[in-house]
This record gives sequence, C-alpha cells and structure tokens, in this order.
Amino acid sequence: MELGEKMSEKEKKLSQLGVDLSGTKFAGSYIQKNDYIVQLMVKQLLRKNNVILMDLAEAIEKFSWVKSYLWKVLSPEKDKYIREVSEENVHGTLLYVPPRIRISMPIQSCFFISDPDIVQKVHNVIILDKNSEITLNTTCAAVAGEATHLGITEIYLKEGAKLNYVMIHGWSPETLVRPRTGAFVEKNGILNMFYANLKPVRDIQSYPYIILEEKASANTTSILLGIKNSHINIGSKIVLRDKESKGEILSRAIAQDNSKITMPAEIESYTSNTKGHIDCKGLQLSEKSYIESLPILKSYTMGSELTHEATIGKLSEEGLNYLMSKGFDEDEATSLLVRGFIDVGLGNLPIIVRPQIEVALNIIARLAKG
Amino acid sequence: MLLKISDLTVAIEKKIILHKINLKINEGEIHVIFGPNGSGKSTLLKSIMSIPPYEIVSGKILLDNEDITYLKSYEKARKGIAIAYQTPPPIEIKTKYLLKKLQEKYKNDYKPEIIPKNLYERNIFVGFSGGESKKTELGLILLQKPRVALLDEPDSGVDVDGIKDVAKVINKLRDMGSAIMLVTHQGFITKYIDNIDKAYVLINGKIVFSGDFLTVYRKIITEGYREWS
Ligand SMILES: Nc1ncnc2c1ncn2[C@@H]1O[C@H](COP(=O)(O)OP(=O)(O)O)[C@@H](O)[C@H]1O
Ligand SMILES: [Mg+2]
Repeated sequence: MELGEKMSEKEKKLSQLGVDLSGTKFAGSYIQKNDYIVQLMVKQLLRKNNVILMDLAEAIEKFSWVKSYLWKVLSPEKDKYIREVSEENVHGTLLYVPPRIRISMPIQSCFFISDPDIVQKVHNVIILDKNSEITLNTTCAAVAGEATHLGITEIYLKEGAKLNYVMIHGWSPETLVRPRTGAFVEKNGILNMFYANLKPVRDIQSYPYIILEEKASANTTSILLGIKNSHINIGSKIVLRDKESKGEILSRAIAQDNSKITMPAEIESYTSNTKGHIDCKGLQLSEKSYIESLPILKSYTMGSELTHEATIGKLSEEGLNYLMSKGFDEDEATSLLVRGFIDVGLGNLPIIVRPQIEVALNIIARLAKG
Repeated sequence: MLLKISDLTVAIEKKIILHKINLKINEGEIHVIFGPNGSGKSTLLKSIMSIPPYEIVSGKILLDNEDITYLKSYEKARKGIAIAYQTPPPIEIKTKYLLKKLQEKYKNDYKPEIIPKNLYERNIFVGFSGGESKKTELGLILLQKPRVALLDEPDSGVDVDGIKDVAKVINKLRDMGSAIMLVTHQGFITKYIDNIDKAYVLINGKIVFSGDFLTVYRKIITEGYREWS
C-alpha cells in the first residue's frame, strides 16, 4: 500500500474514524494526503457498471463534459475560500454514476493532513445520472499542527437519483476548516447527508446549500461535538424551489470545555405543497461552553408547511442520579445520556453504513465529559 | 450479617425525615417495609443507596461489616446493592441500549423476561405506563444479580397479572440468594411471595413495629396505620 512513509502511526487515527485502508469494505477508494493522492482504487463492481471514480484534475483533462459541472452550484464569487480553490487546478474526486446504476457497496474518500502549514485544497464533483444510487463515505482528518482544509463539493443529482453521503470529521485543535458544499437535486431526487464531528478543531464553518426541484427531498443530519476551544459553525440551507419538494435539517450539538457551537439552519420555500422541518438541539456540558441555534424559515408563497423546534439544555440531574444508582460512574452516566441525545434515527441511510456511524456516535459519547 | 443499618438518621434540606433507623438482613431473606404515604419509605431506600437529595446526619450502614455509609451510589451498586425506583425518571436512552450496557457492566447476557419486548426500541420510561415502568425497572435489577435488592413499591399501579409477574421476580431474586427489602404500600403482592421473614412499620420516619409479617399484615388490612400514628 502506497500510503507514505509516516502512515503507520497515523493509520490508527484514520481507522478509528472508520477509514478502511485496505479498501475491502468499499467498492472504490480515494485517499488524499496533503495535496497528493495516495490511493485510488476502483473495483470491478464500479468498472463493469461504468462508474467513474478518479482525480478531478485528471478528469477535467480527459473528459470535456466535466467542465460543464464546475462552479455551477457553488460560485467563486460567493466567498474567498471558494475563489481560492477555483484559482488552482486542485485534486479531489470526480464521481460519476451512469443512469439506473445502483451500487449498494459504499465508496470511500478520505482527505487527510499530515504536516503543519499545509493548505489542503480539494474540489469534488459528484454526478449521479437519472435513477442511479450510490453511497459515499468521506472522512477528513488532520494529525498536524496549524493547517487549513478548503474542501469544495459540488453535487448534481439528476431525476430520480439518490445519494447517501456520510461525512466524518476528526481534525486537530489547530486546524482551520472551510468545507463548501452545494447540491442541485432534480425531480424525484433524494439527498441524504450525515455529518459528525468527533475531535477538537480550531475553527470549522460549513453550510451546505441544497436546491430541490419538484418532488425532490433532502435530509441533512449533523452531530457536533465541541471539545476544548473548538469553534464550530455548521448547518445547512435547503431551498424548496419546486412543488412537493421536502427538506429536513436535524442538528445535535454537545458543547463542553470552552467550545462554541453555532447551528444555522434555513429552509426556504418558493412554491406550494412543500414541506420543511428544522430540529436543532443543543446540550451544554460546561459553564464556559456556548451554543447558538439559528433556525430560519421563509415562505414566498402560500401553501408550504414549514416547522422548526430548537432547544438548548443540560444533562438531566435525575437521569444522572438514576444511572449512577445502577453502577455507572459520573463519566459513564454522562456518556450514556449523550449517546441517547445523539441517537437520531438513521432510518433514511442504508443499513451498510450504519455500523460506521454507530462507531462515530460511540466515540462522541465516550469523549463527552461534563 | 449481610446488611446492617444502625441508628440511621437522615435529613432532606435540614429537615429530619428518618429517625434512628435500625435494620438488618441476611442472604435469601425478604423483609417487608410497610408505612403510609410520606412516612419515609422511599427516603430510607434512597439513602441506603446514596441517591440525592439526602443527608446522613448520623448512623452507619455496614455491608459484610464494611462501613459503606458514605460511598457513592455507583460504588454501592458495584458492591452488590441494587435499587428499583418507585418512579424511575424518563430518560432519552433506548431501553435495549441500557440493557446492553448493564449486561456489559455486570458481565452477563441475561434478557429479563419481565421487560416487555415492545419497549426495547423505546426510550426508557418515556411515556411508559405505570405497569411497564415497574416491570422494566425490576427487570434491570435482575441483570445486576444483587446481593441486596431494595424494591420501592414494585407493585403499585400494576394490574393483577402484572403483580404475579413481579412477585415471580422477587421469588427468583431470593432464590438467587439476594436479600430483599420490599417497600409496599398496600401489601397485596405479599400473597404471591413464598416466605417473608420479617416486617416493619415505618411511621413519620420511625420504625414503630418490627416482627412477624402475618401479624402486622392482618392488622394493617383491618385497622390501617391508625393505631401506630
Ligand atoms: N426531594 C425532597 N425534598 C423535600 N422533601 C422531600 C423530598 N423527598 C421526600 N421528601 C419528604 O420526605 C418525606 C418522606 O417522603 P418519602 O420517603 O417519599 O415517603 P414514602 O416513600 O413513605 O411515601 C415526605 O414528607 C416528603 O415530602
Ligand atoms: Mg415512596
């Protein structure tokens, strides 16, 4: 395996986060360390179905059609991070799934920073053609000192296509992270996004922007653990552009130590017969933590059904006492309650990815401390 | 003696709730504590288990002659004392998940029959009926394989069939060698318990009677607690 000389010590951290370096559990694998690709594996299952998984920089050279998908859902004018990435020819994944191809074995991608002072710039383009379906697991991690990750992801789901997108982040306390994600979901398309942050991070801000056509639906779930001095600002915006589209934004934030977590969430409806729901819950485990929940609903015409619920609280004293009387010490009881707090339904995600998510949620519960 | 409580005086928010309580119990024994509402039965079990809010003003709790008076509740649990709450609090944890964690902690893979299977996927005690809560709470105790089981009104609000199930578990615990302190309000459940070794009557935080179970029980069902008050 060509994973670089220092990989072994760092391998452990990656596999804790669910990265499978051998690739056996995945139909394909793309691993990028700093700014070079250390693994690109495309199994027979993908090849025989003409699924394309390759380096985006190479894909732009090779296929003229790729250009028509660049910077369409994310404009470089939108912010300086997008612009910075757009000005270079950076690596990243191009994933293309042909019409009607449904692959249940997930694909993994991993972006990983191993050295300080790196600015890792990434551009991913994911295109699912009509009625296709795929699951993508992305893990991002850093084991370096001060470093920056700028990750652009453009998602295009054609009519009836379905993408299950699982992202697990495990940064280091000095990393600055600016993912920028945009998605365009055509008629009857389905986008399920699951995000979890497991480790301390200096500053992360991410706000996927999702546009839904007729009868399309999107669900974004974010589980955010704020440890030490982490600044976390993560949410999403769903635009219900056409009739009968449906969006749901669900966030759970656990703030401990001096961490600050903001959960922005916005659903905007432009036609009738749309449905949107925002559900944001925050749990504070320390005096010095900060949680902010910002749900916004906008309806530009009559006939949309938009709701939100938001709460911020602390662990229930009664629950802690009860669990301690059953033999769990304070930390164990806290972990149990936190595990319950983040036990959001995963019913919309395929069974095959749930074990990895369970592992991530268990890590969060174990690390959570009052 | 397995568990010995001597001269235990307990206060809540500076107010004395229990006065100089003396109790002792051995392996495989069942002791029943009777008493009217508010007499301090729950406070007694909770202070034995160190569940707040309570303050031990004086007295001692010995387990196998070891002074455990001021241990934390989880330390007491790990030493083999288990409590079934009168009203367990609703908690946002799936029943099956807590079961799994208790199995891990107490190293067994026992699945208590008394816990209705349809509750496994639900958050524990959230919206449970009275009977469902009692059965589930008692089932969890079985996983702990306790040396001492403190049962706080496991029969209240449970229907007749349910009471038989609860009694079955109590008999089973005793057969496993647990010492059982059973708090009951109206005592109907005792009909289904094979052999009760002793009974106490607690009134206004004082034990006003201790002795033969049947003598006390007959008196309570005919006369209530009036005579002792
Ligand atoms: N948390 C509490 N704060 C204040 N008083 C309490 C508290 N818990 C119990 N008490 C009081 O202690 C007394 C005994 O209560 P309890 O032990 O629950 O009685 P029982 O279980 O016999 O019905 C009652 O007067 C009750 O109001
Ligand atoms: Mg009581």
